[in-house]
Amino acid sequence: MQPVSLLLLLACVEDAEVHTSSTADDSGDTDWFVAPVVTPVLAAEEVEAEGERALREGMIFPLELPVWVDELLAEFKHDDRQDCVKPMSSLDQPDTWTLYGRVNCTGAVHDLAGYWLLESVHQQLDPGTSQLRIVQLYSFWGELVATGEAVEGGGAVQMSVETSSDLIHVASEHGGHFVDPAFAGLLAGGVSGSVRTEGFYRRQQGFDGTIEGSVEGGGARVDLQDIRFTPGCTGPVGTLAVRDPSSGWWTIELDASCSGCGPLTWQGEVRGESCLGVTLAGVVTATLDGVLDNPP
Amino acid sequence: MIALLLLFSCDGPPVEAEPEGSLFVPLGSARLARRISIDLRGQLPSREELAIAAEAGGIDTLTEQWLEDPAFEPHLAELLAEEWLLRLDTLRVDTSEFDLPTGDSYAFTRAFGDEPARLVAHVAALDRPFTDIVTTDVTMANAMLLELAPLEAVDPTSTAPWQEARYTDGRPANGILSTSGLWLRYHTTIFNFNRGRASALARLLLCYDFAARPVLFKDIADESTEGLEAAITGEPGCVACHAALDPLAGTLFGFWPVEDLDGNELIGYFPERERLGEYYTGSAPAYWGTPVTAAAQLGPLVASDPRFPVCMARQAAERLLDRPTDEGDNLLVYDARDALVAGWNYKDLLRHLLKTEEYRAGELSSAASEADRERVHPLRRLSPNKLASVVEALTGYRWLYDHTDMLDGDLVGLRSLAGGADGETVKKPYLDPSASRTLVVRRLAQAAAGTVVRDDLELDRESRRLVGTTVDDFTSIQPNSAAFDTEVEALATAIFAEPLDDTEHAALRGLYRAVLVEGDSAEAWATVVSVMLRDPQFWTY
Repeated sequence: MQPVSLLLLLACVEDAEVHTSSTADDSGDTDWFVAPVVTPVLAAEEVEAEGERALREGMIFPLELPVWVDELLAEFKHDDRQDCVKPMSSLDQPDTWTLYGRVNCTGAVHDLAGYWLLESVHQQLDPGTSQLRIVQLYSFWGELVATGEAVEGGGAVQMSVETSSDLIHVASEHGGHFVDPAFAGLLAGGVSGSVRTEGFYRRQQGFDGTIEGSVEGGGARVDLQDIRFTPGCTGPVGTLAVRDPSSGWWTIELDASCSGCGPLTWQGEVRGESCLGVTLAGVVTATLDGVLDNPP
Repeated sequence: MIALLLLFSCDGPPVEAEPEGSLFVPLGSARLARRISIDLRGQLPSREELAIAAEAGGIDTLTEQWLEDPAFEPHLAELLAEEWLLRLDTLRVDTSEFDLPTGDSYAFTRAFGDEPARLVAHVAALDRPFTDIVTTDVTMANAMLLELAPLEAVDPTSTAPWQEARYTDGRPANGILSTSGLWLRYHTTIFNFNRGRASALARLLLCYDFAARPVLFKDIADESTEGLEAAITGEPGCVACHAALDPLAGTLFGFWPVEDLDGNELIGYFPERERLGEYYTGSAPAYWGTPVTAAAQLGPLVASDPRFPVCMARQAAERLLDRPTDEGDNLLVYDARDALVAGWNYKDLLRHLLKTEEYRAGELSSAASEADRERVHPLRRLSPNKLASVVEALTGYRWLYDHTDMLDGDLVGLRSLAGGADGETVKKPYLDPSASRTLVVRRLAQAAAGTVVRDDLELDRESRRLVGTTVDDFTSIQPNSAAFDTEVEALATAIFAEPLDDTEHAALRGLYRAVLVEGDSAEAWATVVSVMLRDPQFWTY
């Protein structure tokens, strides 16, 4: 049967719309399909909190190691335990280390059974100059001992610091699946998905850069679309799209006036106004001022 | 031997008297019970069930009993998997993507391939609203799926081979439309942008085949990617399908892989990609013109689509009548559709179809025209899956080779040779007699007969599956004795659901005697059973 004739036939059948909300009739004014209304699971405040958290994920530099990675390092440095956590390579520089080993092989209970690769370089580019390069690389895969959850991920933070001109270039990228408290400290709350940040910071001007990517956690997934921090602005500009567990979408359009505020919409319908990234801008300023004042 | 087979095959199915004015002559109660039992649970009726069938209302009693039989759910899943071509021998990615040994390939393809069919069968078996197949937040998973896919068991203590489970990666509650199995089977390449999947959705659930639309289009001068993309939105012949196909494809972007040879990409769901549909296809996600702004709207839209119950009714009718339907069957299909939507209970649809004249026909009446005879097939034929299932239930034998079911695959097995569809090169079963199908049936019959005789020799009479149910020591039966005829009659009842005539009795007696000359009685009984299993009265129903 051809589709047209099928539809014509159906239009003449009285109970073609027995189920749900189709409103077929034989008047020719046929509205066959009505999409069901989707009710959000998240409240507006939760959406804002998730958006704020996602922004923070992209703005953590330099990285702080989780406690259990510190313990791993201590194990590595212990003479008797090097069989368990072996160095894969050595860049033969101070503050530089690379680990590759089973984390829990000595009986110490660590959070991750798997492999961890971590490299951190603090490099004076030209001895005697004010230029400093900080590179932090990490990569891992394995299974969380406590939950059995598979995790994998990797990322990098690079900071080029020019102390004489109070300038920092920052680029970072994190990707993978490591939403778990075990990673607290590495990032604000862990990340699943990926987030990238790049920009310049100049003292007394502020951060000038972008964040993009998507971050999952807390039951929501946040897409960061062309989020831009601009010197002189109260907050960022750009769009955050927050995927509700119901599969509908919230959006926050941070408007071009760079107040850090903008309309909050649910499935295209305005539900109020939200302000994001305002506090964060101050936190970033304080952190990067600290790096300039006390280079790592 | 050939003469014996011909002798057996010359008999048509036992039927009742020809009713006046009807196209159909009804099947006798025993053979009708056999047909219903095979269709509902993939096995033959027992002697006791055949006795019930002979009583007034017995067929209805048995139908209700078999709709609740534990075999109903897995059997329906097998039939659906076969119809929807879910059981491919190779999927887009193989076991190496999941660190599984190559030897697990069969189990791997069947685990993912069967997932959607298992869910549909589960909904049907539990009398849940049939719209659940596209709106539920649970799926069905076996141990391998639970291990590989982002799933958690609804009841972690369950030891059922297939059990309810939920995905944990944020995918919407769209029933089979949210199963990894369906979209691994009907995968998309990166640059197909889910269009093939959208087409599969329309074909499987709405019986709407984009590829069958009669469209005309001119040569496309520019065959570059850009040129083809422009044609999709500008060339009327392309627009005819893509206007509906692309927005539908856009609703599936959570399943779109950025790397289409990566196992986790192909079985995972990525909510952040849901909004990419419009960007990549140029069309906002929609369901035949109705915007889809949340992924969870897709399943309810399918459920409320009037084509959905019609399609489900059509598929069930084609399955039970063993023939394709066309415009001439609209009354049949729409009546069946009404039976389904009255309570959205799939069993009501089956009940309705099982009572139709055509389903219950043993042969066509003299009133039937040539066209009727061309269109309607009163005799059903066992598909490879049904053949395997019926033989296993009857004899305990499943033809396996290196963990692969020989009637359920082609990489190792003989599915296509036995008349089945492999889902890739063979899209429809061909169940008419053929040389290859005959050879497969012969080999299966020989192995099954040998197995059941060997097993039954070890058991006491009450526990035996098929052979030796009338005497304690069936190896001592003499071929010219009444005991032989009684035993053979019991076999005929179990295998054909009908008695043998004198000529058939004599032929089997001669065969038994001939084998005894060179072998023992166990071999002789195995030969008798083997010949009966090769008889068309066995593999038709």
